[in-house]
Amino acid sequence: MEGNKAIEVSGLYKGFKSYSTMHGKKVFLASLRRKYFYKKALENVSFSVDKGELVALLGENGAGKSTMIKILTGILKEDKGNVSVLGMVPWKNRIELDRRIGVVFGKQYSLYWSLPAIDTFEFIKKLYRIKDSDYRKRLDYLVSILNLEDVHKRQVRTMSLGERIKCNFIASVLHMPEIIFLDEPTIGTDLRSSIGLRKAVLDMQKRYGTTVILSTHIVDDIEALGQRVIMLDNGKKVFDGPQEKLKRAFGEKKQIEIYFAEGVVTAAFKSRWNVVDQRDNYIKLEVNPKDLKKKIVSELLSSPDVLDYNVSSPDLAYVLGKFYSSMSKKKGNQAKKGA
Amino acid sequence: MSNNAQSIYSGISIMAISLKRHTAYRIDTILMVLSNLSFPVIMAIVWGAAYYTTGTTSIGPYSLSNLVLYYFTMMIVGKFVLKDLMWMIDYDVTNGQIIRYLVRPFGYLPSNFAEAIADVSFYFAVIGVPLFVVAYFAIGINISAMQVALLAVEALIAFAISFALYSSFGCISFFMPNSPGIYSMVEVAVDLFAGAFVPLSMLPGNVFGILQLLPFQFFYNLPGETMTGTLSTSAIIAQLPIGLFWIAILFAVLFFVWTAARKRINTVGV
Repeated sequence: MEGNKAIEVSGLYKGFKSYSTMHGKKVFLASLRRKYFYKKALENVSFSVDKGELVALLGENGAGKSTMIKILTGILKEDKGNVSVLGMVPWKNRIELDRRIGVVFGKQYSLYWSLPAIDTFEFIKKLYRIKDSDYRKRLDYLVSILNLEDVHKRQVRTMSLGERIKCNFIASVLHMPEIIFLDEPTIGTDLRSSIGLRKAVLDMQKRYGTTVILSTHIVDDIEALGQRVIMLDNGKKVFDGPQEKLKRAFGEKKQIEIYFAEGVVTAAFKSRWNVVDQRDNYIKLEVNPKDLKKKIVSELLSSPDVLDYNVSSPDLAYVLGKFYSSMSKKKGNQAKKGA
Repeated sequence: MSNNAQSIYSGISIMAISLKRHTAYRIDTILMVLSNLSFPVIMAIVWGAAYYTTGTTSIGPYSLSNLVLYYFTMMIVGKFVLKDLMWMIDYDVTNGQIIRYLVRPFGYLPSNFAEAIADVSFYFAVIGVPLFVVAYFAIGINISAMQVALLAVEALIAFAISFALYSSFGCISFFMPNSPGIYSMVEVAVDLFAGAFVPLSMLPGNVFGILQLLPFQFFYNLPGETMTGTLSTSAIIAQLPIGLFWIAILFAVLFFVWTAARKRINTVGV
């Protein structure tokens, strides 16, 4: 039964056997010996995603994001737990599921290198048995939203990186999948291409109710597409909620940027507040919202040395930075306790 | 549309785009024809020198023109032998390209199979046929309908055997990525046992007897002997069940190897 759920995951575990070797001049022979270990990639992860939701899977390198996407798309088999995507077990029903989902791996192209991209699109049309009229309509729509007019008729090997990535995106969504999995979709693209891709994803979600699962490190992508955020750390789910909730949890303090007249010493501010950034006549502070009104703003207004100031909430990059450092601290404390 | 019909339709789509891909490199195709032509010519020179210096007119059942025809046949029917498959699988696994196949509604091995049909069709048409024409005018081929039929069956058996054999070896890359040493060894061993260097009937009798029970003779030796007429029709027909037996064995092996290999896909690299 699919119901309103696009994805349901409960008690998911996945691990890999890996090995390490010694390196360096003196350990040539020792480097031949492998030290095997078991790495937990995902540990007791549970969540569900409604149809039409936009979810960003976040976490540092090795957190388990790509493993999660590969399990959800049926490439990998889970060790333990239940996974259901559109009412199917991905590993068991991969081929059937692949007809209804689209997967974009930013580092892997599904385009034929020596042929024009349009040939790959025609191939996808036949593979997914897309009707002529639907194919024409969808291709026109995607080509125009991604500014690819005429580009898709050129050989893939003659395209720029951004053009290739956008054509690869078209090849992955031409069959109008119910769920799109995006793994680092805008990696290496310029600003215009990234904006085009984000626009296309948002448009598909709004128009067709497409569910989107995004895994990326690019803050602008998360900001635009991650309405809901699932944070993974060392294979464990550590946060699941709206992006705003994450910002509130780790960005409860306000930031204030102050521009001083030339040659003014800013030591008075530095000693009392947490400094985030500082240059010649500029300082950025982190303050409690209640202090902002009571103490700082009145002080700024009365000071003749202050030329201008700007109050803002911390951006997502700052929030994520704080989140990751709090996780590292937590791990450090746990390690100390263990020792 | 039933699942089987859908798979066949998808397979035909993969074949079509694979054929189209080949047309992108036209100059390379012409060079391939020439390089394929050079091998029988080189063999003619080498063996010609051997025949001339020893003053002999035949070695075993082979006259010089028969031997050159053997090498021409090897290059023509050899287009059905999928030697590059294990290198291709290794490339896909080592560079993570296999992922692009695993997100499409088609299996990796069936996709390779469909691409292989397109590849052999293309290479046979643009290399095999011109080589046959050259051999026909240069050596003079006298071939019966029965021989043509046998060659066709042998080519299909060679295709199936080489697909299962080289795919199984290619799956080594799931366990030991980037293993060119292993593939080179496999290539040399298979070439030797298949009769790529000399016809197997030139080897000692007991070695020849053992090699006739193995699958490799279908790649080069048996088609060569069929074309040159050095083996009787009844003897060739008697070999065909051995080929079918090996197809069944090697596809069973491939199934088990692939099942194990599939579990080795992890997030790093592959």
